[in-house]
Amino acid sequence: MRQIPKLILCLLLGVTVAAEPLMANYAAASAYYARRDYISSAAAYFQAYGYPKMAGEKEKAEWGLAQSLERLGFYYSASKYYSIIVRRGPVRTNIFFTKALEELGRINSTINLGQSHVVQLFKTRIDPAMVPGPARGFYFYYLGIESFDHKKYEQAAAYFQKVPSGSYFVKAQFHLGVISNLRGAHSKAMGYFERVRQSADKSEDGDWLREQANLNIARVDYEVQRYREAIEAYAQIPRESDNWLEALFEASWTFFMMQKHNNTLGTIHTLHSPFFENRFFPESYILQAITFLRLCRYKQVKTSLTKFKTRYKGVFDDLNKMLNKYKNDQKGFFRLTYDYRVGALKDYKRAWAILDSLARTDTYKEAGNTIRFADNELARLSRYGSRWGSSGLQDEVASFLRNKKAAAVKDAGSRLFDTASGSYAYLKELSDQTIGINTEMVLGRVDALRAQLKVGTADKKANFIGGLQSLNVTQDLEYWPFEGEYWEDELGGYVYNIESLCAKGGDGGAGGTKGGKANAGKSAGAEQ
Amino acid sequence: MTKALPKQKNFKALCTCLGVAAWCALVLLATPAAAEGGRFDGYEIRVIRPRFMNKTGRIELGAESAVILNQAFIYTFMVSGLLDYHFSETWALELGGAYGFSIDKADKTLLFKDFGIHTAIQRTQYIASAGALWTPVYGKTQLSNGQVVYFDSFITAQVGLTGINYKFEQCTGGPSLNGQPDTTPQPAPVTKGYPSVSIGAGQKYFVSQDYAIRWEVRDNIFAFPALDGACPGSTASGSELKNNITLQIGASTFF
Repeated sequence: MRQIPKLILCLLLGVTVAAEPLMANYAAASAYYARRDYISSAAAYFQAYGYPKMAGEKEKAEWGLAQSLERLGFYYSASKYYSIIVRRGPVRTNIFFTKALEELGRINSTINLGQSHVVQLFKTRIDPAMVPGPARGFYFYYLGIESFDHKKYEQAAAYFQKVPSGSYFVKAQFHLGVISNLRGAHSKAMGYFERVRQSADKSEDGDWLREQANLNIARVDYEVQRYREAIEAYAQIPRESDNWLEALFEASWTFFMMQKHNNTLGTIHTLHSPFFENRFFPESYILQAITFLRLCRYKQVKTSLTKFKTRYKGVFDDLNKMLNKYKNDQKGFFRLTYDYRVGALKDYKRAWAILDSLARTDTYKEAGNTIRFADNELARLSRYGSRWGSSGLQDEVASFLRNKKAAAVKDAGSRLFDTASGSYAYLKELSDQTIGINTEMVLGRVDALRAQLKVGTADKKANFIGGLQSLNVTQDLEYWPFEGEYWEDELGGYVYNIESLCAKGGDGGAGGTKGGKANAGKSAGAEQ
Repeated sequence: MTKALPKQKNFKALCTCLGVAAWCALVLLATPAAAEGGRFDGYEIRVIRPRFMNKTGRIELGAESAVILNQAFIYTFMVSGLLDYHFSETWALELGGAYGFSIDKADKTLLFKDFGIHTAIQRTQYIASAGALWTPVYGKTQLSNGQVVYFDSFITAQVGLTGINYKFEQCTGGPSLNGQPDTTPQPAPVTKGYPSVSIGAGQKYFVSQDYAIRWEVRDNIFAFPALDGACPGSTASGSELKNNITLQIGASTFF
């Protein structure tokens, strides 16, 4: 009988030791954290967060939990708890508000939290004076983005102006450039884009921004009819960039406006190469057709229009089927794009050009990154099952990560579907244009059609070689003939070598019309 | 993405063996430099861009290893250096020098071992030359990994001096008819220089705008008195013509 109290004592001691994590309090968690045992501290803080023993302990445990997760590299998981703190707003009891906002800004600079996540974060209006210095960029940038998305450009500009120097500054300057351009303040826009071009860093994000700045500079130049400068800006986009073909396509319009038809056709020739058979530039056929039209090469106009029809009829049909099937299935549509990207898709072959363009969008890439980061944390989470499983932390974080992934997929799927729908409408519009061009040509109203194009006056001083480069008379050039065989290194360097037939009354392909006589020799004179 | 097959432009078929390469270069002598400005006027579509490799006004410094291909009883290996000045993309002046050594082939050893025959050998020790280099072809080729490499095909004609080393091995060492050792004194080895002319053809593959890998085949021709290298008492007279066909492979850099 004397042994019984000892037995009970031992039993209690044993239970206490075994249940140590469950019984852990805030002090124990802090001790683990101080020892840099973040795995234990995360579990203990989670316990203290769920079962606070005194006032204020829940908030402290919440902060400690987020910090522990961040130290372990669980950035998304940490963002969950930082976000909870921030969403409570800068109230007196929310003592970690400022720090949490700073941490979220830092995490977002490392791994993109996703726009929807951040916008949700700032649903609670915060007094700007309460936003700490290091988080001001993060805060005002995303408020600007939200306003920008809602087309509230004045408000967006005001927010972007408040973004201080730091990791969000250049991006804010870029958006200010876009807003200025939308308002018609071209020189101001150029100033912003120039600043972005010069100050964007050498990172992947920096390169992307620099390219976007170059593209926008080119577009502004195009708008104000500084075509030569526009070409120079387009030429800044490197070949290996995803934006290269876009730059070439836009440059071909610029050449057209300059009446550099051989350069227009040469640039389009790259877009039509078999290397890019899955890229989506249907308008290039229309531009090709109207360029031939300006040169009174009616047979080639017909050929271009026929090629457009041949290439895009199937795209149009498959895209239609695809859109009908995934009308109410955003997740499925994202999956479809993903399958195309990884080479697992066997269906809708004729619409692969559309899926290819979708897979190159920022929407797709952002969602892809979210999935990748979330999967990475989920995989690592499974390793801590024995330590975090009993406390419920593992389940909670895993559930958050899965939901984040699902939300990213759904949101991206919806946006991608909208983009694809836009492509469908665009194709339909272009198809109507081909009918228009054909009809006008056959009816002999070629002059009227050409007049509608409102091209600029030919700049005889501006001559270009391939690759969007100005002709430099001191430079040695190399010439390669195109004999039906595409070489990868030659892409982007093609220049046509044909003359206008307008002086000869065209090539007779317009149903016998002699349209273009009024402009006889004009186009030819503009050729280099 | 479509992947272009390995191919070569300009003179289309890649000359992979030395003879074909030399022949092609000679044939192309009559063909204008295909990639130069103002060409391909008859083509509807052309690529026009800044020339990848500009040599005009640049100095080329290179080193090559050479082997003489047409020697029956010895192998001759040489190390050569070259210095070119490119007046234009097509014309250059070249100074070159090579120095080497030779080793006997098994045939030569067997002849002596089994039959007591020593062969008379002319061992090329050095070649010094200067001349003109003409580059009629500027082309490009695509490697199997998709990389495009630019190249020049050139021909050269040079004059210089070729040094031949005589060891007079054939003048002694064989058993005499009466079974007694041959006591005829062997002349001391000597190296004699002969004026020579060399013609050749080759290619430079530009690794970058400053470096090239080059190979060439040359025929080094010289005349020598028949008496040179003959044993004492020989009545040989007149002169003979000798061809040394060399294969040279090396690299060069441009300044």
